[in-house]
Amino acid sequence: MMEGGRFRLNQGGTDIDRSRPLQFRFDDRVLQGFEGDTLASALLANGIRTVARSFKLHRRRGLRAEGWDDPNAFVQLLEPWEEPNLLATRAPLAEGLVARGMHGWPNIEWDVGALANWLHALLPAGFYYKTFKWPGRAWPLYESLIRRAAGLGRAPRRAGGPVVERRHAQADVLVVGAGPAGSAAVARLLAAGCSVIWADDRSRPGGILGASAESADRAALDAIRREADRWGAEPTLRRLRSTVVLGLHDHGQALALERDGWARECLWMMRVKAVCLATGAFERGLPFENNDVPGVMMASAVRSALHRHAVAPGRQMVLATRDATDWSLAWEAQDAGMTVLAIVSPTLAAAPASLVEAARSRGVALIDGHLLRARGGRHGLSEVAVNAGGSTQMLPCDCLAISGGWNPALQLYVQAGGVARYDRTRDALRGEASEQTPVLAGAAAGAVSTDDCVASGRQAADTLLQRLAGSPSAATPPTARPASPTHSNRAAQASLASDQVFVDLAGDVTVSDIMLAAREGYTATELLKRYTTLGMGPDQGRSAGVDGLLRLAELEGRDPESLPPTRARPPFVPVAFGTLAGSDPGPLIRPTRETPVTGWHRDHGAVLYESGANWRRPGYYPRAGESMDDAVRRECRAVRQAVGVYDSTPLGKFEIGGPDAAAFLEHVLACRVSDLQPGRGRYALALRDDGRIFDDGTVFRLDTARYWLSSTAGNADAMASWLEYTRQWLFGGRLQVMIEPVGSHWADIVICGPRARELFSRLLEPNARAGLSAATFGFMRWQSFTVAGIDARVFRVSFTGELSYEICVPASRGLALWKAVMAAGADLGIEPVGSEANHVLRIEKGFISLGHEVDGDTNPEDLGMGWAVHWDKPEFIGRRSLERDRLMPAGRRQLVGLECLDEGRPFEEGAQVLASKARLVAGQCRSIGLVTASVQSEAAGRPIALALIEDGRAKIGETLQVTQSQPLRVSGSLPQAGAPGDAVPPEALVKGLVLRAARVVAPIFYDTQGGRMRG
Amino acid sequence: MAESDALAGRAVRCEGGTVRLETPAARALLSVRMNPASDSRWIGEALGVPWRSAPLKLHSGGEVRWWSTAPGVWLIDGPADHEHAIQQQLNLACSAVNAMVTVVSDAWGVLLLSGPESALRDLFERAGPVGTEVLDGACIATRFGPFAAVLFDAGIEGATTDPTLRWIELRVERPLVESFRQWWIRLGALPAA
Repeated sequence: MMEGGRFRLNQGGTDIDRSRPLQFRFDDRVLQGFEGDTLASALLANGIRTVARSFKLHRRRGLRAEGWDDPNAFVQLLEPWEEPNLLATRAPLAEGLVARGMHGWPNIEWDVGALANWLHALLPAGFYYKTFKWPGRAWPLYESLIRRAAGLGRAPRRAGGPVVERRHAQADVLVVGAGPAGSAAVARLLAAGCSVIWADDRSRPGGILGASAESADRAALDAIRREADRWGAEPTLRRLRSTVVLGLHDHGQALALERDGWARECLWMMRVKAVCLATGAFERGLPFENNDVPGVMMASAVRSALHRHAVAPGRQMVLATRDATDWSLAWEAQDAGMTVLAIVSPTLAAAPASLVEAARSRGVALIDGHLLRARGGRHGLSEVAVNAGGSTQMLPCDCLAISGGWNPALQLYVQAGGVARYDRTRDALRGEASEQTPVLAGAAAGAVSTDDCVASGRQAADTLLQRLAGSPSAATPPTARPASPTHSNRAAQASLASDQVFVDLAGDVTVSDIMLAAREGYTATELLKRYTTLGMGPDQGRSAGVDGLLRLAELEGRDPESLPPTRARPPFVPVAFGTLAGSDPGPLIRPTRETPVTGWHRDHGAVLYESGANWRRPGYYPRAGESMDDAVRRECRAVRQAVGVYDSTPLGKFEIGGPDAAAFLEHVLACRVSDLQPGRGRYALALRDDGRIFDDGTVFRLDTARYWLSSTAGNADAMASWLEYTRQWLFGGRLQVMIEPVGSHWADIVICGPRARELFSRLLEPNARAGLSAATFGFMRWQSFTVAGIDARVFRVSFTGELSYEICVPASRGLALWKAVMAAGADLGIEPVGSEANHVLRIEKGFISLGHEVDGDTNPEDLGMGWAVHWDKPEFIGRRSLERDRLMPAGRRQLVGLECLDEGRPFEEGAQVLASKARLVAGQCRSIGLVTASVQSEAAGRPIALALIEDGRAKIGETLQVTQSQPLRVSGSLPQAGAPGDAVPPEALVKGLVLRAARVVAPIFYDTQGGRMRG
Repeated sequence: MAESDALAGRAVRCEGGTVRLETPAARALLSVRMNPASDSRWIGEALGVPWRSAPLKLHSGGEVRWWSTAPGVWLIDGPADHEHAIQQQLNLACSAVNAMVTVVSDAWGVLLLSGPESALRDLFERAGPVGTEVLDGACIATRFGPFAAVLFDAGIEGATTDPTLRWIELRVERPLVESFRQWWIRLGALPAA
C-alpha cells in the first residue's frame, strides 16, 4: 500500500505533511493518513467508499462535498472521545483516532437496515403519520420501535471530551470568512481603524483558493496569506482560525466554536456592532437516478482532494457540469493520473472554443447531454448512463464529479434576520440587503471571480464603515453572473424514476417525496420541510434547500422567486452539548449558599438540605447509629423540654428607612405598621395583587424612621424585587423610602425552648440579665444586646411555639456566636436542631410554611389568619381582591388539622382528601383537598397533619378519607361497601385506591393558647 | 496588606503571566441610599474627603474609597476599625438629606486577583462578556457565570515591589464567596490559549 493510502498521489497536497504519517481506525480497519488530512480525505485516500448509511433507507453513502455541506459524512467518533454526528470533512485526522460509520448494524458494509431500501416504495414521506394510527392500542409498541430507529448517532456512554474553554470578545466588526472577499474586507476595515474579529473555519486563510491549481489563484492565495501574516501584529485584529461561527443573534451577539485540533475547544461569545459575511457558497448537485451512489462527488470536493490532500478520488472519472467553468478540473484530474472519460454538459454549444479544443487535445470526450442514472454496488460507483442527443450512452467510471452551480452560504445571514430569495438571474438564492442585517461579500453575495470577490469585500467594508459612522449605506446589489440559460437537466426529469432521484441526501428525500407532499397539499416550503424532512437533520438544508424549493416550484407551476426558502436556525453546524456547557459543569452551574455556620454543621454530621435559594441548611443531626426519625424526635424533645438552637441565617432581611417608610410598608404588608413603636414588631403577610399570600415574615420598628422586615429564605430575592417594584413602579419613586437588603450581612441564630431564657441570660453581660422577663422583653419585641461579646439585634419571635430568641450578629461573627451558644447550653441539654425538627414543631403549632400551606392560591382567610389582615387601614396590596374573596367565602379550601384514626404512619404529604364515606358510597367521589404537611408528632404522640380542605372549618369533627400511595383513579359508581355511616376501617380499598380515615380538627396541636412562646 | 487564606499562593495560569487569587483583609463597608436626584456632596463633607461622584468609577480620599453602580446608592469602604466612626459621621449628616446609612461590611465576600495586566485581561476574557473594562479604570457590576459581582481596580500601591502588577477586587454576595472562589480557580486552571 502506498504510504498514506492507496489512492494517495505521489506528490502535491498543500495541506498535508508527508513526514508525519498517522494511523487511525474506521469501522475496525486500520488505515493510514498524514498530518493535515481530514478524516474524510484520509478515508478517500484509503479507498473507503462507503462512510455511512443513510438515515431512513440505509443506502450506502460516500463522501460528497468538501466542507460543511456534505450531507453524508457524519460519523460516530469513538476515540479520542465519543461524539456522534462528527462531520468527517471537517474532522482533522489524529493518531489513534477511531470512528465508525453511522446507521449501520452490525456495520455499514453489512447492514441489516438495508432492507428498508428494498421497501422504499412503502416508505414514502410521511408514511409513519399514516401507518401507525391503528390499532390504537399498538401505539406503545410502535413508539418503542420508532424511538429505537430514531436518532442520529449514539449519545456518548462515557465521559470525556476536549478541554472546553469559553471566551468573550467585543469588536466593531465580525468578518466571517477568510477567502478573497473576507480578506479584502478585513484589510479595508483595519485601515479605517476598526477593531475586527476575523473568523474562518480553516486554519489558513484563502478560502476556496486553497484548492485551486490555477496560477492566478495561487498568486492571489499567496498574497492573502502574506497580508494575513503581516496583520499578526495589528492590535485591533483578533484572528480566530479553525473557527466556525455557529449563530448570529440579536444585539450583535455571535457564537463561534474554535477547534484547535483535538486538544481544545473554545466557545467564543462575541458582541460586535456589525457583521460582514464572506461565507462563500456551497456547490449544488445534479438530479439523476441514484445520484447518491458513493463515488458521486461535487466537483469542488474532487478538486480539494486532488490539491489539498493529494488524493485521487477514483481511477476513472466523468465530469458533469452545467456550464464550462469547471472543465479545468478534468485537466487537473488527468494531470494527477486519473483517466477522464468524458465531460457531460447540456450547454456544450456555449462552451468557449479554447476549452473544447483543450478537451479534444487531451482526449476527453465531450457529450452534449445530461446524466440519466448512476449505477453502483458495494464498491461504489461503477458506471453512469448519459442521455446524449436522445440515445443512452454508458460510461464506466468510479468517480463522477458533478457541478450544478453554487448556492451562496446564507445560513448565518438568515439567522441574523436577513431575507433570502431565489434569484432567477443567478439560479441561486440572494440575500436581500437591509440596514439591519449583516453585509454579504464575495460568493455569499453572488460574486464569482476572484477579482469580483475582492471588489465585493471592499464594497462590504465601505458599507460597514458607513453604518458604523451612523450614515445610511446604499444597499448596492452585489456582483452577479447570469446563470446558464439551460442550467440543468430538469426538463428531462419527467422520464426519471423520481423515487431514486435524491434531493436531500441527509434525510433521504426524493423527488417523488416532494411530489407526494405537493399532491397532499403541503405546498408551502415550511410545510414541505416538515412533511418530507427536507432540510432537516444535521445537514440543516445546506446541501438541499434550494433544490427542494425549485422542485416544488416546478411541480406547482409557480415562480420560484415567489417561494420563500425555509428558515435556517442556529447552530450552523452540529455542536456538542458539552461544548455549550463549557467549563462550568457540576455544582458551579448553580452554586450553593453557605451560612457562616455551614462548616460547623458539616463537621458535626448534619445532613444538609437545599432549603430555598440554594441555601444549604441542616436537615437533622444524626448521632452514630441513629435513624433520621430518631434524630428528629430527639431534636424535637430538646426544644419542647429544654433548649434547641438552629441556624436561621438564610431568612431574607431588609432595612427600610426614610420619612415614608411606614406608609410604604402599610402598602406592602397586610398588617398595620405605623402604630408600631420602636422596639416592637408584628407578624406580617405580604399579599399579591390578587389577594393571595406572596410571603410571610415579621416587621419590627428599629427606630423612629427605620424598619426591619424579614422574609422567607427562598423568597428573599423575590421579596427584594417586589419591594423595589412597589417603590419604583407602583409609587413611581414618589415616596421618600430606601430599601437595603441586608440578608447577607447578618447571621441569624435562634435559641428556643423552655430554658432558652436561661441560656440567653448566660450569654449576656451580668448587668443586662435583669431585663429579660416577659414584661420587659416580651414577645414580638426587639432589643440590642451584647451577646457573647458580640453586638447583636435580638428579636422575640418564634417559629417553634416555644420561648425563642432570634439573635442577629454580623455574619463574620456568626460562627463565634454559635459556638458560644453551644458551650453555654451544654449543661442545659441543648441540641442543634435541623429543618426536619423545625417542620414537626411548626406543624404542631399550625404555623404556615411557603410551599406547603401557602401554595400560590391561599389567602389569609383560608389559613385562618384573618387576624393578620388589618382592615382598618385604607389600602394595601391585595385588599380589593381579598374583599372579593370574603364576599364569596363558601367552597374555598381552608386550613385544618387532621388526626390519623389508624395506628399507621403519617399521611403522605400531598395526599388527596376525599369526602366522607357516606358521600363515597353515594358516588360523590372527588378530591376536596390535600394534605399540606404531615409528621409524627413527638408532643402529641401520634401522626398529625395539616390540610387544605373545601370549607374545612365547617368540617371539624367529621371523618374524611385520605389517599395513600396510589394514584387517584376512581371513576363511576363505587362498590357497595356498607350502609352510610358505617365505621370506617383503618384502611379501605376502593377500586384500587387505598384510603385512610382521618378526623378533621383545628390546625393546632400544641399549646393552643400560645403561652409558651409568649412566656 | 492582604491576608492570604488557604488558597494563597495558588496560581492560575493565564496568557501573559500568572494571576494570584487571595482574600484581602476585612474592611468596613457602608451603604448610603438616597434619592438618585439628590446631590451626594454631603457624603464627602461628612467624611472630610474631596468628593467625586462619577458613577462606575472607584474614588478614594484619605483612607476611604467609594463607588456607585446604581443610581442613588453609594458604597463607602474604609478600614475595618473605622466602621463605627464612618457610620457616625454619615448618620449625623444623612437625616438632613433623607438618606439611609446601613452597615453592610459582612454582606460581601471579597477576593483579590493580582497579576500582569495582560494575564488579567486574558482571564477576564474567559470570565465574562464584561470584565476587562475594569483594567481601564471602570467599576463594574456584572455577572460572571452564575455570580453577580462588583469589581474594580483596587489600585493598591506599595503592595508589591513589581510595579507591573494590577490588583483587582471582586465582591460577591457573602454566602456565595466560596463557590465564587472555586469558580475562578477552575477558570484559571484551564490551559492558556
